[in-house]
Amino acid sequence: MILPSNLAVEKKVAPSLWFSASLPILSVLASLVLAAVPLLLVGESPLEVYRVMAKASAGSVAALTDTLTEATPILLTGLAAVIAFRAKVWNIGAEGQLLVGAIAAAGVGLVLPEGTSPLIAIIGMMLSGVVAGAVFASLAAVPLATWNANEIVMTLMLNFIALSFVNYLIWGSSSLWRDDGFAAFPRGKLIPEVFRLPELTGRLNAGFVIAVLAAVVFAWFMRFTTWGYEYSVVGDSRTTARYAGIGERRIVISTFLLSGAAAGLAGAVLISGTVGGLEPRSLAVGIGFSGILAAGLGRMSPLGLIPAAAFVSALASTGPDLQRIGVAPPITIALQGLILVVVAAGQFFLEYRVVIISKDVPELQGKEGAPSTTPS
Amino acid sequence: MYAGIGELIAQRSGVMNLSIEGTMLIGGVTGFAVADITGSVWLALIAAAIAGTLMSAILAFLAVGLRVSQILTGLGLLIFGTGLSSFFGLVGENPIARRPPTTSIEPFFTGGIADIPLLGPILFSHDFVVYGGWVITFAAYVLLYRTDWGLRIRAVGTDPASAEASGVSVSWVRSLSVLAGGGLAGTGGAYLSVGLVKAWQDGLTAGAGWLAFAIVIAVRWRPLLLLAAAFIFGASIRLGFTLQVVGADVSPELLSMIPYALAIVAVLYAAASSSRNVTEPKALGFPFFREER
Amino acid sequence: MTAEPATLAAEMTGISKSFFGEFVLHSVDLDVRPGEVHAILGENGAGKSVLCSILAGLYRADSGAIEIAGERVELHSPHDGLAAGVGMVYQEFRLVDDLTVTENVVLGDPRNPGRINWTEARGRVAAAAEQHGIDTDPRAYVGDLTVGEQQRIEILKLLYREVDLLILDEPTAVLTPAEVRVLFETIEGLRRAGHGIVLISHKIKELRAIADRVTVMRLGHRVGTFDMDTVTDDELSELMVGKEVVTSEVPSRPSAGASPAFEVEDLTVLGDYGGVAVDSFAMTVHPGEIVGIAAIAGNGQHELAEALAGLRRAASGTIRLRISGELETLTDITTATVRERVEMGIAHIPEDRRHAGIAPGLGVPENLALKSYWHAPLSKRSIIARGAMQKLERALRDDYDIRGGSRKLPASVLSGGNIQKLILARELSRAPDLVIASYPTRGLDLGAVANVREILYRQLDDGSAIVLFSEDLDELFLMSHRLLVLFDGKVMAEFRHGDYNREVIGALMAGRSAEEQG
Repeated sequence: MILPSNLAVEKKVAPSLWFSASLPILSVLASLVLAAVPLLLVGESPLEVYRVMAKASAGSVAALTDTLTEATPILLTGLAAVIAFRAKVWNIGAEGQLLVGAIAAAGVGLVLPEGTSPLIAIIGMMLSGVVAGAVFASLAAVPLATWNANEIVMTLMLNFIALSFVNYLIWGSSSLWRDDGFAAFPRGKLIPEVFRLPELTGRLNAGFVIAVLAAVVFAWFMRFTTWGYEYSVVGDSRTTARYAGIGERRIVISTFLLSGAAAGLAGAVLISGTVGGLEPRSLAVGIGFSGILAAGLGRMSPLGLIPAAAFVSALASTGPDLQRIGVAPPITIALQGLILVVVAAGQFFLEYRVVIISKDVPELQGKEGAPSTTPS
Repeated sequence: MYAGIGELIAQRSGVMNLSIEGTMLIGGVTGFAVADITGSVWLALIAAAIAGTLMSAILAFLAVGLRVSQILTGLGLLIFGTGLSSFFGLVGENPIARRPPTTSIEPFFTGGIADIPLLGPILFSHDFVVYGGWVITFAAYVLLYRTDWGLRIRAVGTDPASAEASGVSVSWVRSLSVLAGGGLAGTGGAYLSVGLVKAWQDGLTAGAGWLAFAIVIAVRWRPLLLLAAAFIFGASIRLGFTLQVVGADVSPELLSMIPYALAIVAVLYAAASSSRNVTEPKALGFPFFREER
Repeated sequence: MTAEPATLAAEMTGISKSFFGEFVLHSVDLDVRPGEVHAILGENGAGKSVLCSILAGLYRADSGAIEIAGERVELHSPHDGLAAGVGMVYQEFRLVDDLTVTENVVLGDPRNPGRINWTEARGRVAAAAEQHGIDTDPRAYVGDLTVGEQQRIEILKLLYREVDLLILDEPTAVLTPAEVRVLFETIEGLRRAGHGIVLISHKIKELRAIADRVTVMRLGHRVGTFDMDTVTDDELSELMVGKEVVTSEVPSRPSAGASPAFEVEDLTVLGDYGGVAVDSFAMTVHPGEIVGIAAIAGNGQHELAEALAGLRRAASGTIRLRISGELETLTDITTATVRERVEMGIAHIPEDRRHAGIAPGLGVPENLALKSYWHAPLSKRSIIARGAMQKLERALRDDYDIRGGSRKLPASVLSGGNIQKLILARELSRAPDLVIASYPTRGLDLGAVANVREILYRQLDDGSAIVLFSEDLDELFLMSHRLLVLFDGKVMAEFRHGDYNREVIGALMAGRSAEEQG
């Protein structure tokens, strides 16, 4: 820490619960202030931009349902991040696991004869997405558990491979997933309309319910099952888990697979919901990373994730309206990143406090740029 | 390669910089914009380096100064960099994303020497940025193994508590390493936009930063090996184009997987062999695990 | 007090320090003269190391003033400490294993040129070693050196940095007697050269041989500073422990002829790097009996404890336990997992209580459930019963007098003594047949120490067998019915309560038989 020499950093005994709960809101506000800088730089009025954004995401019932619709996959990839990160397993491959889940779900949707009962078809697609996501995650989970291979690198590289593979299926081959109707500019073939998730209101479909359910079920699982208990111990201290005879390897792998399954489900929900076919331009849009953001904003709680995902989706879905007033939409992406950074920074104030060191002699001596890290 | 060396130095000091791709993008857009306005390649590269350093200053402050999660901060900065670079690329009446380059980087050697068969194209056909990369790799090697700073970086990366007790400021060494890493990544991004692609487009780096990150871990933090690995990965990217030119019947989408698959194999190999072979030089340990406090 | 020389090497006045809201130092004073060996004597947890770490700049005092060589200083880091001429050899060495001796010695030296010529640096380090009579290979990796060699490198490093005041924290704890002699010769040489030396210890005998003055500390207070000639061992001992009522009552003996509860035969265990850590170890423990293991750190006791608890595989040999209910037969548990051993009635009080003994981020109820959550009433068919967990907490908090924390707060907020009581509550409430207790009282204040011993004695009455690991010979003498001395992974000898002889056992712990000692 580079601090004035009469300040020192001290670890807090316990974080304040009140502060912990309000941190996400404070972070968002701080980020909005910070993001005003680039906006002012290019001569836009931040207030005007934020007003448009608020209106576009929550200004009407239609806008609100749209926001929740877009929140669905973010909620699921966010759940993938929460599951993994709480156990200190760094799966940042939700993006790839989502794509693979989408491939599987679309495959099932395209193969099944159109006469199949829609309920069975939809369940089949969801299950296949879940399984595919988990299997794809195992490509990183097993090396992690066996050789301690860095899972961050593995999942990242797998993201790229999954994306290339989807591109190949649509553009590079005449596969099952490709709609040959547009030979010059191929697209993903749409699954039969009856296999799509039923819509609740507006564009909002049953996928949102599935996603919320998944988060709630996981929260329950964590608190009320022995697996959840073991998972909490492993996430808190691996040494303690070993000491208590908890199979650490088993928990790490199952966590990773569960995380991949949630991301795979996100892919399946997209296919059966808003997207309808294996369409790279609609699927590979950074939903995995938005999920990590939502997880951070929801303070790694599966239930806090639900409003957080809605908020992230609100940010992301305002692009077209911003375009209309002449502001480049990527500012919302920058804003998302900023929020994640600020939320992470907020953790500092939860864990430490800055204290003023009392001194017998007021004048300061020995000014060293050298910081004093005080291990405790 | 710039990005790789930058990441390597940061990781050797014990900080994982996940925002490298975002930093490269910021460097890329800054470099292109500056080249566009001033017409000077040098100014472009310098500006990109400054932009990259600024980005990583945020990481240094948060991850080293405030000791918050390097992973979340890094990912946040990554998203921030991606969004901001794209935003600046679209600003104004005539956004730079739609502009042709006004300047570019010329090959360093002209005539004679570059025309030598075989050796010529391999060794002498590049521009000065490429040679700069080679120089920087060797410089990083010298820095790490032959200088006081390098000693501090290595010590801080493997055993911060001992380094601190020896009078080394862990935060200071880590911060500077991260800053240097960011500057190099920014330069790397500018080289992509100004030198190689000769245009600015969204997501221009297309995973180059991530690849650099993977390579650093795959070569287990050895700078000279990084140089070799960078060549291999460069070649694997080229392989795709070459095969297409030759007319091989392989889809370009599949070919584009090659570098990533190669990275996975390399990381797996490094991980699997390191757990078997404990006699390996210990100075090349795992800075990455030790950083957890 | 004797007349003071013109300038003190260091003077600390009114130093206070607290961690996590608990005071560890209350307005402590200390002065060190050049050319003297100043001992700091006190029990574990008396605040000796913290005081010295403040003098070295590693910790910052909450209040108080430091003068070094007559100059008032503000120390923000060890960097400042070294610049002011104070260096410390910490109890856990601060050397980078992955670097060579030369690299470690020159690390952080502000006089280093930007570009280091390693040949020249090695030369300088070798010259410094030669000058101070320290034998070393500048090219060797520190991780490959023995503990004694590493300690010499630590000292060399400080001398290379030209410090005037050296602080040595429990330097003899890890050394063999021969190495101690070499160390004391080195210290003697430094004293003659005019260095001030601060020596932290809890062994009075040792200080006799080397110290000029001694400052006694107890529970974060300075009790007093004395010339060594003016104070007797008994006086020091009393000052150090205070008016402690020593619970000298010997625990009840196992009834004669009782069959063993636990048997280990020919047990060989490998260390982390593949070397033999425990070599053909054997022991027998009866119900109601405490068997102590005495060893200097690094002689295999860590690996032995892990092997008994199931955390480390036995390379060969057998471990057998009498499971309650089965009267005369012993069950072979050599290959049983940790979980299976828990089920069979083995309790384990781990060495690292804060990071292995509890999950610091989880609450007290969750931590109490750690060894029984998979059973009714805490869970049924893999579903956790939160209510039962809280009931368990209420019961055990009362029984074992666990204070502090709340249901919502993480267990890490508890004090060391209460964490230990939490662990004891969890382990012992399961009525174990065997208790493996590693350093159960280390670092606790005297009240908590008495409490922990009391709880363990209570367990003896219930018929448990206890294997006690401790670094404190007095504790082992006090508590054990029998004592095994371990050196280099091998059992050197076995003693019965009443036959304990400090000199003989001390020599054996250092690897020498009683005859050799002469």
